[in-house]
Amino acid sequence: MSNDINLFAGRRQSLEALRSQVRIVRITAVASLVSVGVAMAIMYALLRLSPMDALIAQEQVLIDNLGLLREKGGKVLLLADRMRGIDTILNSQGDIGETIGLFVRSLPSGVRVDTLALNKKTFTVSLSSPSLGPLQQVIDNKDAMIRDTKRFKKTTISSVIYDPIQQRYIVGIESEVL
Amino acid sequence: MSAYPMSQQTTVRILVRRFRPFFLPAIVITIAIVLAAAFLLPLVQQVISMQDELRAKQERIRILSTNLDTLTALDANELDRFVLLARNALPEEKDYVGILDAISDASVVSSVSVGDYDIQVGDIRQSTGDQKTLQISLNISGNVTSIAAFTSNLQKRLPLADVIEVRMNNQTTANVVVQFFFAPIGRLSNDPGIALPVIGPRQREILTLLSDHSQTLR
Repeated sequence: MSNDINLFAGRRQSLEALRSQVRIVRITAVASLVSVGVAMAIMYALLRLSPMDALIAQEQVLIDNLGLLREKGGKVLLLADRMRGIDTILNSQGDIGETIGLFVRSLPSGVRVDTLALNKKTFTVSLSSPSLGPLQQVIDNKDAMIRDTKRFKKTTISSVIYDPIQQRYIVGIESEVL
Repeated sequence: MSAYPMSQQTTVRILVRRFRPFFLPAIVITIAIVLAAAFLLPLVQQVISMQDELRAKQERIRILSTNLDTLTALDANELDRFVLLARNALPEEKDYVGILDAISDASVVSSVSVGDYDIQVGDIRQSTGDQKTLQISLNISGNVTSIAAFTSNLQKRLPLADVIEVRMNNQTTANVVVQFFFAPIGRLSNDPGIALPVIGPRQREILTLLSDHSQTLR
């Protein structure tokens, strides 16, 4: 006799499968309800046990204490405000006097500065001397200054003339300032 | 008489009987979902938001505490000296007295004589940042060395200045264009929860330099 037509066995298997499904669904239902309940309880506890109130009290104490030092705090802020500006100025400040001083110290004796003009970009000077030797020395020194001091970028000799009345050679020099 | 034929009523009855055991769990799961959506999710959002607030509050307390420590540790006299020095270096408005003092001091030290000078009051320029400048053109008498010394000395005095041009048209006189800086006070915050700026090594270095400038002659 074939099992394929045994209706009783088939019905029993079907019932067992159904019972198993019901059991799974029931467990899922209970588990979901319990999970939601437990999660809500945890969230509620987290909210209730928050240290926010203690932090607010601590903050208030600190603010009260800082209130006593308000004048000092204002001075610190004022100082910081001034220091920002001062720092910017010091960083952008040039030193024209130092540049002139450096150049003048490099001049050999006998060389006279007739005219001089210096701004942030250009340095123009007119020098005179009874002989050409010291003026050659000036140009050599200027070359060394370009290399060593990094204050000048490029130097041009704009003119070399002889003044027969003063009996002096006059050299015009132009430099770009770094 | 029923609206459905007999066979359909029988099918419904069979299905109801077959799935009856699932009804209660389905209702329970539905209730759980509704509870989660209606109560649990808002609670979770509250907790997350509370955690953010806690972190922000803790950070604010840390800043307040640091500010309190900073202010307590600062010597009031030293702070007053620093503020005075900084305000002399960069006044809030045009400090004519300070400027004339600086010019006078620099000329004495450099052995030059300052002739007439032209203060371009109307020509207030906006320099880098929030600083403004007051440009002054000075006619001075002296040799090239003393004029160089004068311009250097002028920049080593308070209020802060920057010599922008020197023009010697002969061997004894020169025209010096100098700009003196000033800056209105910026917006200072009233909130104690904002971290106070610290007087760091760079600031101390600058204050020492300014202190040297202020003591150059006086």
